Order: sequence, then structure tokens, then C-alpha cells
Amino acid sequence: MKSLSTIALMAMGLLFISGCGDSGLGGGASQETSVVVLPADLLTDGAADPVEVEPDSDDDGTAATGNGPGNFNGRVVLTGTAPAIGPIHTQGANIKDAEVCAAIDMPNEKLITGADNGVANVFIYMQKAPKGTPKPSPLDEAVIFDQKNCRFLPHCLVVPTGQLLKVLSDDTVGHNTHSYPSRNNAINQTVEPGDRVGKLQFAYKSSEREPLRVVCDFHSWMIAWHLPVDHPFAAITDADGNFEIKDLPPGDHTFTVWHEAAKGKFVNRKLKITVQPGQTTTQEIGYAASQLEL
Amino acid sequence: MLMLINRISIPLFASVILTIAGCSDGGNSSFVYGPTTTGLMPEAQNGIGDLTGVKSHLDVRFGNPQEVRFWSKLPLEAGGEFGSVAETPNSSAAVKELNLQFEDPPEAFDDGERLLQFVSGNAASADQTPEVAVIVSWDPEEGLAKLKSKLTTVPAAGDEIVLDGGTVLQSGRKLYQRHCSHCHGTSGDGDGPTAEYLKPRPRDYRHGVFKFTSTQGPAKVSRGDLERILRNGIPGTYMPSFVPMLDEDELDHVVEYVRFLAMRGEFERRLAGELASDFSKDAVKNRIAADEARKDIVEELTEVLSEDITDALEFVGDGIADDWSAADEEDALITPSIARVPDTVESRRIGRELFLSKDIACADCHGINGQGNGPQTTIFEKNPVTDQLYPESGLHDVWDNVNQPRNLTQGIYRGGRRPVDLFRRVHAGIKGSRMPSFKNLEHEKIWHLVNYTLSIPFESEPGRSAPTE
Repeated sequence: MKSLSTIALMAMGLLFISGCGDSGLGGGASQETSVVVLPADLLTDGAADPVEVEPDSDDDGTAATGNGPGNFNGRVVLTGTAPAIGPIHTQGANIKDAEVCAAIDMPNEKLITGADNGVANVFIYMQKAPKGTPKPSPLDEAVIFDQKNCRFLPHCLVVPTGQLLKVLSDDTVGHNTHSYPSRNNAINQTVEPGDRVGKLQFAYKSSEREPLRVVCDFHSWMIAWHLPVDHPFAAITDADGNFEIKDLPPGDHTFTVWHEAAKGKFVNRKLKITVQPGQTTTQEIGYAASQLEL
Repeated sequence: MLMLINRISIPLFASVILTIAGCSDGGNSSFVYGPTTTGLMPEAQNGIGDLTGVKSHLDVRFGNPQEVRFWSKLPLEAGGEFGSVAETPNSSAAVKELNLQFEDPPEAFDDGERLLQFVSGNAASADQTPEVAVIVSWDPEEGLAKLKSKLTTVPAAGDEIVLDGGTVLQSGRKLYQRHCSHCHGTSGDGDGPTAEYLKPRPRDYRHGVFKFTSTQGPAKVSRGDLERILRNGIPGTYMPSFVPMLDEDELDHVVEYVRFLAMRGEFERRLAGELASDFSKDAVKNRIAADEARKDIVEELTEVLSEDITDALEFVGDGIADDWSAADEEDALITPSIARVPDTVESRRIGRELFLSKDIACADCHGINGQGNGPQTTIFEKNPVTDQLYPESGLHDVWDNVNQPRNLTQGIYRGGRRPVDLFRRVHAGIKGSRMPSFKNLEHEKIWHLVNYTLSIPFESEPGRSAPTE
């Protein structure tokens, strides 16, 4: 229609005249910006005054109900029927680098159950240790993170922050170590075949809220989980689901229970236990089969 | 006559409406919030009552495109002379002169109008726009600055000030909006208006990761690297060279503004990431499915936002400040320990052997003829963050794009075609992508690989690294 094209022409004309640029309609790219300079140490303006921390509150475990440290142990038990999962690939399978990677059946380590339905490789740890917990000092010897037959050993690892990790390889093919942390800086570096010395060395600078995954980009089924912690209260269940955490200050504590096959990865975000001085609290932690996401 | 008026006035009226219709918000632009932030539960994003949420913490420290905030903790050369108030003015009324001292005193001027901003002390405030004074004259010998009008808040001795603060960011922002934002977006999110038509997509700065650097594997990109990208463009992509369109100063300003956007994006991701584990929308859904009450979750969030967030803010801020300033240090640069091994047939032959070896496995991604069609391009893998399979096959990078291994037969090297550039690609890997770092490979071997790689486009047939007669 003729009047439509007139409208369009007039609109374009007006836009052209108005200059959509230096004036009128905001300025676009040539709009002047002001810059406010802020001091390096900002007050947390806008946040309300910090909630009063009650002295000796229950949650930080310094309740003075005696002094000797206690222990916390138990088992993670799968309730309900777990689906049977076969190996990722069998010995002799026709896969990449088969002579090394298919030298054995490759177990699917996503869910490993042991005696009496105990679940292995479950992380049990505190998000934040009670005030005054000494940070574990790094060992003189590096912690070893190995790989053999295209499988990371161990599959799950708790490592103190600042602790040196050495990545070893017992395979005749190349691997790389690629981590996906949230707080730490990622590593993506190759590992020489047959490296028993550990040329790739690194340490995690900060703790993480959840275990981080470590993969090999050359062999996509390879995966391991690392949890850097800045306190000693973390454990991984063994092949039969057993775990033990020692020398806990007496009082109430909250633990996170984490497993890679659980929906959302958390089996229990807030497992509350009480530790009596000089005694061991034992708990069987239930892990419902309905929570599994395989 | 009436008909003539109608014929003009109605289209005129309509076109005025059309013209103004698209220009809402007075033409102001805004920074977008990243997916980690928008994936949090609303109370974590926006705060609860008086408690600040992630969005506000971010806005306080970085501002918006109209009022950019330079947080002086960050290693940005935002421009301006820093100094402090030397003496507290004695009368509380009519403060029209100030005694100032500068680290690097500016030259005297007598008849100008320059902005003085109070960075700390009574006259500064993190939330509201701090007091800005206009200096009309400055005498460096006396250390005396005369102000245009009297101050409303009286500063004290030791209060930090900055003269012409942020001029680099101001200029950088203008240049960025004009030259860069149409691809890279106002927030540096790689999602400007043209981005959807481009492959590869423009860089999303907000991970704080840049692919083509001269720095070590874990280190950030340096200023020199960013400047080189502006100077040379990225061959094989839509990123052009901006020289000689931008002069040397303008290049510096754009680099600084890009670093500002990258730090803002990274700060946002990491801060939101601190809360995501417990308070993202997905996490809340899982927790409610596990029989937690939503109001308990909100109560827990209230505690976190009032207490724990201070530690997180400091931790994230310090981490970013340290990482970005370390990138410009000399020891972050990758320097080959030996000069390039001479480019002989023998060197190329060794390079090809290494290329095909199981140790280094270049061919797994780049293909046995270097065409970028190795077997790794056919696998289906999961997104490590969401744990869902990617829709397309092949490896993916940290921006969730398909990471196509380079077709080395074309002779187009995105990060630069100097031998040292290829050395650095192999040594540090390509950050954010699946090209790993071969840091522990002997430098001599890396040079053999470089020599072979550079010869691939000229091979008469694949694998024939010796030139034919």
C-alpha cells in the first residue's frame, strides 16, 4: 500500500534526523559513561548486620559437654533393588587403544556395591569444619593419582588443600588429565605413557563444595572424583560401604553424603549426628534405590 | 485540502510512533546476568528483605554501562591519578580548597575543570554515587587544589582520592560499544545481535578464558595477547583486525574494557557458583523432592546471605585479582627453552611420527592426515556441568560449542602462524577447548611437531612430508 511505504520512509527519515546517536534517543555507542571508583576493601553495604553467632552454638560442635574427641563411623547401605550394571566394555572389545584399554573388563564404577548391599565410593564430609579445627598439614610425600588400563586409580579421592598430587600412568598409551573444579583452576594436561615419576604435579588451592570430576579427553569413559578439603573430617566408603571419621570434637555435626549415581548427586545434604566425648557414634546411612540415576 | 493534510499527517503520526517505539528506557543499555546467576532460586538472585542477593553484589562492584564502576581491587589500569587528602580542612563550612598529595603528581593547571573523586572516607560510599568535586586549579608545589564549588561532606586527612578516575574505561566503553558490542554483546557475553549468524561464535568473555594466549596453561590471558588479537584479528573467523582503525591508545582502552567485562563475568559466575550447589533452581527441586520444605531452604539461604557471603565475596574477589595480575608477569609467558629446531625433512619426519604416535595421539582428534576428522569427533559426550548428553557428536568446549579440531591442511592458524605461536598452542593447549597442554613434552619434540604441522598444507599427498622434486 502506498501509505505504508510513506510511513516507512517517514520513519526512516525521522530516525535519520533524530540522529539515534549523540542526542535524543539515548546516544547508543557514543553515549557518555561515568565511572565510579570504588575502594579495594568494600564494606558489604546492603547486607544486614551479620547474624549474631551464638557462642558455643550446637552447630559448630564446640559445645562443652566434655573434651575428649569422639569418632563417627558406619556404613552406607543401599535399600531396595539396585539395577545390575555390566562393565563399560569387556575384555578384548573393539575399542580405541584396545590392547591397553580392553586388556581387562572395564568395570562401571558408577555404582559399586559390596557385602550386604554396602555402597562403595560414597563421600561423607563436612562442608565447613567447626571453628578452630586445625587445617591438615600437607604430607611430605605426594598423593598418587594413577591410571592403568585406561582407568583412574583411585576412582575417588579426598585430598587436603595445598597437598601435592602426582599424576602417574601405567599405560603405554597417552592420557590427559582434565579437571572441572568450581573454585580451583582447572587442569588440562597430558600424561606421558609409563610415567612412574609423575611429571604432572599440582595441588588444589581451595576446598570445594562438592567433589569435582576429573576425566581423560582421549578416553571418554575415564572419570574420577576429587574432593579437596581444608579440614580432616572427610571420608570415602570402602568396597563394602564402611567409613570412619576420627577425632571429631564432641557435639552436634552436620555431614554431607554425596555419591555420583544419586539424583542431584546428594544422597543426604544434611546428615546430623551427635558425637559424645571419647565415644564412637555409629550410623547406618540409607541410600534408597529410588534415588539412583544411572 | 483536508485530504492532503490527512495523507501527510497520518503517516507522519504513525512514523513518529514507530520511531520512538523501539527506543524505550531512554536508549540506556544494561548488562545481562549469566546463566549461573539466572539458574539460582529467585531469593538468591534478588536477595531476601534487606539482605543483598547475587545481582546486587555484582551491580555494586561493576555498575551498569552508563555508570561503570571500577573496583580498585581489580588489576585494571582504569586511568586516573591516585592520591590522598594531605590535611583535613579546618573549617567545616565552605570547603573550597584541599591539600592533596599524589603518588605521581599531575602537572600544574590553572584554568581547567577536572573531576576529583573520593574513593574512601566520609565523602565516599560504595552504594550511592560518591561525591565528585570539580578542580579548577592545581598547584603541585603547595599541593593545593582549588574546587569549583564547596563540598557537602568534609573529607579527612588520608582519604583516598582519584583525579580523572576511570578515563580509560570511559573511552574503552565507548569504543567497545561502537566496534565490538554488535558481536560480543554489551556484557561481553558473545551474544550480540550478529552473533547468531556467526560460526564460530564470538567469544563469551564471562568465563575469563581466552583461547589464544602466550601464557602458561593455567594462567589467564595477558594484555599483550589481547592486543595482538585486536591487531591481527583471528584468521579463519569473523574477528577482524582493528589496526589502523584504532590507534595505539585506543587499542589499550579497548583491551582494558574487555578485561573489565571478563572480570565482571568471572566474578558473577564464581559468586553464583558458590550458591549454586545448594540454592540453584535444580538443587531446590531435588531438595523438595527429598522432602525438604521450601521455607527451610529459604531460611538456610537467609543465613548464608547474611554471614557466609562475606567470605565468598572476599575469596572470589581475591582469586580474580591474583589470577589476572599474575597473567601479565614475566613468568607467566611461555618461552621455549631452545630455539626452533631447523625445519628439515628429518625434523618433519620425526614430527609426523610423534603426530601419529599413541603417546601424543594428535591423530585421535586431528585425524591421521591432519584434516580435523579424527575418531574423537564422532563420540557423543555429556556436558560436565549438567550431566546431559550434548545433542551433537564430537568434543565440546567450555562454551558448549562443538570443538572442531583444527583442519591443519588449510594452513589457517587462528592464534597466529608464527612458529612460536604454534609452540605455545601445543605447550599450553588451547584454553577452554579440548586441546590439552603438552607441557611435559620436551621442547625439541614440540618443535618437531611444529615443523611437521607447518608443512602439512604443502604436502603433495598426506603424510608425504618431504617435498617432491
